[in-house]
Amino acid sequence: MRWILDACTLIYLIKANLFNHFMEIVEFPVVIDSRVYQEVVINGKANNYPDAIEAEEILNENRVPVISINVSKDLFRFIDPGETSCYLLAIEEGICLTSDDKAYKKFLNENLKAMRIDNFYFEKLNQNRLKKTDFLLILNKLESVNATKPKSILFYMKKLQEREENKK
Amino acid sequence: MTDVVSTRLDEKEIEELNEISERERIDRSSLIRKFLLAQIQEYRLKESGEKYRKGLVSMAEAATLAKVSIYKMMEYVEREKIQAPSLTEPEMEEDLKRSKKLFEEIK
Repeated sequence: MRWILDACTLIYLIKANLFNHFMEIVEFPVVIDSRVYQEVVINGKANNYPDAIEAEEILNENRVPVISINVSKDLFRFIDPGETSCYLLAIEEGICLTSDDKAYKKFLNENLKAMRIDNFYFEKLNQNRLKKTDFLLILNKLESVNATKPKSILFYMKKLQEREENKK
Repeated sequence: MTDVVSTRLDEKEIEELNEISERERIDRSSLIRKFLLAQIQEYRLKESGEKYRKGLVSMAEAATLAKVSIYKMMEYVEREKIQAPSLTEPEMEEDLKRSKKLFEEIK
């Protein structure tokens, strides 16, 4: 099993300062495709985005493998090469982790294993890998970078309330 | 390969271009090209941003369509306060179940 990150999720985790913590709780290997690396690191650095430099450092520190895959035959499915590569990697093995609702729906339509990043954290909370306060902090951080929406946060608050009530 | 494109401008517009060209210390032709390319990019961003707002494309797809980096697209979406449509509550409920099942499968 492996987790496959798309470009947006990788950028958002870095922007929200959550990537290292994510690597601590993720449990299975995390991989990215060379197209995602190109978009996030190479192109980002070429255009002087500080997050791109941080992404390069953090990917190196965490030894995240960058896998090359030929996307040319499947580009029609997703338009974007990065999302196409996530799709191809997930077909081989793994779960696509994304912060983008549209990308998520597309992955599901292609019968891929996919998960939204906020759901990932909610499940980690259910597995007692996160405290409630940490979960709430993470949600706030994700929202601050646009990686989750206020409506989703409300939904999780409701779920947390249900959890508390069930405990009683 | 480049080609020459001509267009008509009135005197006031030409005067303004001349002023900016002098201030920016670039020739008028380069200045017009610079403005034109910036406006083309803005047009593409607006078009893709609208598709993103309607939930027709993802952020990465919007960037690809606008021929800009994901960072640029993210900046534009933030600047214009564009929100893609949220999932409905039943969809979120369904997603939670799906995520739970996936975690059970990989245990």
